[in-house]
Amino acid sequence: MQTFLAKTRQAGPLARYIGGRLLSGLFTIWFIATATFFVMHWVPGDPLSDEKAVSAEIRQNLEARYGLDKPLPQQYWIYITSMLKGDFGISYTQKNRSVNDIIAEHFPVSAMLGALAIVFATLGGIVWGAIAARFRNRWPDAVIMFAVILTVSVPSFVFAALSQHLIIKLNQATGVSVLPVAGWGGLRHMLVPALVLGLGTMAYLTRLMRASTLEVGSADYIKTARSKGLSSLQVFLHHELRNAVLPLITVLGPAIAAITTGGFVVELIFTIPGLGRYFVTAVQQLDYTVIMGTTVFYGAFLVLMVLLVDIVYGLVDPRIRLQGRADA
Amino acid sequence: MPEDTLLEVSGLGVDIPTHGGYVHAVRGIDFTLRPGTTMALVGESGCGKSVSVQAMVGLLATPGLRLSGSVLFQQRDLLQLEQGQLNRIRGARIGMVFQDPLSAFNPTRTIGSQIAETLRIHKGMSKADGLVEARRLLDECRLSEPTKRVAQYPFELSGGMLQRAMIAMALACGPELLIADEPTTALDVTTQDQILWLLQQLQQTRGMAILLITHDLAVVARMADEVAVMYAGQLVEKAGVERLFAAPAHPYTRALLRATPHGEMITDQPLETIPGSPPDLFAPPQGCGFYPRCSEAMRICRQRMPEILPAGDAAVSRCWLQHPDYLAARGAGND
Repeated sequence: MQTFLAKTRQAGPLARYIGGRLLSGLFTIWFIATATFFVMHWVPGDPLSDEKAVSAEIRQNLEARYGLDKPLPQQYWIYITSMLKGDFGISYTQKNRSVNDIIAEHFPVSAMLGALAIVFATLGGIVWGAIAARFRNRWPDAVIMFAVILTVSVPSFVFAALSQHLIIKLNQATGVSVLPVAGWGGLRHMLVPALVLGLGTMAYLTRLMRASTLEVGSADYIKTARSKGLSSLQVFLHHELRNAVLPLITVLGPAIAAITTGGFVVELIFTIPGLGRYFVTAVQQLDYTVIMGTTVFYGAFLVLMVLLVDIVYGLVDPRIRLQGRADA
Repeated sequence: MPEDTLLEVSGLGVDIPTHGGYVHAVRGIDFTLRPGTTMALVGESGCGKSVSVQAMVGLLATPGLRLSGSVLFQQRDLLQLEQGQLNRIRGARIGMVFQDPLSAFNPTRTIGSQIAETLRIHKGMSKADGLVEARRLLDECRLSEPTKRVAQYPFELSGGMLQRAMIAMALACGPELLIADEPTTALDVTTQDQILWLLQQLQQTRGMAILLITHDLAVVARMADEVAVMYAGQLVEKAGVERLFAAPAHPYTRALLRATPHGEMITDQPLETIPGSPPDLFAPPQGCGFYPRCSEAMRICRQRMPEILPAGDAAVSRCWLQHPDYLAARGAGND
C-alpha cells in the first residue's frame, strides 16, 4: 500500500517530465526536417538531373508529377503536412517504392544489428573496464588500454575487412563454414558485423567504466563495506559495480546514435540490407524523399532512445528517482 | 596477556608508500583497552591516529604498505590473520563508525539493506529477517520512525540521523569493540551532543569497548576513561582522563590543553596556539618530534626520543622531563 501510494505520487511529475521531453523532441524533429529540406534543395542539381538528357517536355511532366515545379515554400508546406500524416512520399530513384516501405523493410535489419552491437559494446565495456580498474597499472590494464586506443584510432571499415579476412582463414582452416563472410540470414550473420559495429563504442565505454570504477573504489562507502567484513569480491559486486555502471547509462543515448548512424559502412562491407545503405545512396543521388524520410525517421528514433535512456537512468538511480518524492 | 584486556597494541608501525618514498605515518605505538571501557586517541590532523586504527583492522589497502608490531584482539593478532579470518572479525566483533556519515553509506542502496547486509554475512540471516532486525537496531539507536527509515536512501536523511544509522549498522552483530573515527566532527554541536549521549547509553546497555579517535578535547573529557595522545606518529602521553586534564605530563598535551577554549575564558583573550608545524614524516627526526615547538626543550630532546616513562598515577609520558635522572637533578638543584 505504501509503495503504491509512493508510486502514484511520483507518477505526476514523471508524466509531466515525459510529456515535456516529447514536446521538445517534436520541436527537434521539426527542426531537423526543416534544416534537411532546405540544405538538400540548396545542393546543386536535383533528383532528375543525373539521368541522361531528357526533353524539356518530359522533364516538365516529371517535375509536375513530383511537385518540383511548385515554389519552394509550397513544396516545404506540402512536405511537412504529409509528413505529419505519416507519409514520406515516393522514392525518386526506386520506382514505385514509397519511403515508408523502404524504412519498414530495411530499418528492422539495421535495428537488430544495432541492438546487438549495443549489447556487445555495453557488456564488453563493463567487463574490460572493470578488469582494467581492478588491475590498475599492471599488465592487464596496460593491454586493455592499448587495445582501447587502437580501437578508437582505427576506422571501423578496417576492422570490418580484417574480420572478413580472419573469417575466411578460419573457414579454410577448419574446412567448414564456421561463420558467413557476408550477407544476411540469422544470428550467425549478425555476430561479427555487430561486434565490428560496436567496437568503437565498446572502447569508449571501457575507458569510462575504468575511470568510474576507480572513482567509486576510493569512495568512503567502500571502506565502510570493507569494515563490515565483506570479502573483496562481495564489496566489488554489491557496492562498486552497480555504482560504477551508473555513469555509463548516461552516455548510452549518444552511443545508440553513434552506432545506428555509423552502421552504413559496416552494412556496406558485409552486404547487409539495412537502412544505412539506402541513406548513403540517396544522398549521392539526391533522392529528396528518401533523404528526408530516413533523416527524419532517424532523428525521431534517436530522440526517443535518448529519452528512454534518461528514464531508465532515473529508475536505477534512487537519487534521481526519488527527487519528486523528497519535494512532495 | 591479562584476562581483562580486549585489545593490546604493541609497537604498531605503519609506513605508507608514496611517489616520494615511504611516509612513516605511525612509529611504534602501544596501548591496551579493557572490555567495556573507552579509550580516546587524540592528536592534531596528520598525527597518525586515523591511520593507526585503520591499519589495526586491515583497512589500509595501499600496495606496498609496511606494517609492524602486533594488534592482539581477543588473543589473536589481527596483523597476522588471513583476509577471510579478518573479515569474520570485522563487522562482527569490531564495528566501525566513520566521520562523514553521508559519504560512508552507499548512496544507491537503502539504509535497511546496508544494515541487513552485515547481518546476512555474519549471522546468515535472510534478507527479510535482516530488515526486521535493522528496524529494531535503528529503534535502539533512537532514530525516529525506524520503519520508514529502513526503506529510505542515505540522501533522504540528515547527518545526525545517518550517524545514528551508522552506529546501528556498526553494532548490528553485537561487537565487543566499537571504533569511532571522529564520529561527531561532521555534525553540528547539538547533534554532536546527542550522538555522544547515544554512544554512552549504548555502552552502558551493551557493554562494548569504544576506541574513540578525535581531536576534540571536550569530547575526550566527556567520553573517555583513558586517553592516548599522539604526536607525529608516536604516543607521547597516556593517562586516565582525570589525570590527563588535571596534570598533563607532556609539554605537547599541556600545549593542546592551553589551545582549547573553555568556559572560564575571557572573551577578548586570544586563544593560545602551538607555534610551528609537525615534522616531516618522510624523514622523521631522530629525537623528539615535538622538540622544535616545545617551550621546555633541552639539548637531549633533539638527539634522542626517550623511552616510555612513568608519569605518576599509572600514566606514562615520552618526555625527558619525566626521566629519573632529570627529576633527580632538578630535585638536587632545588635543595
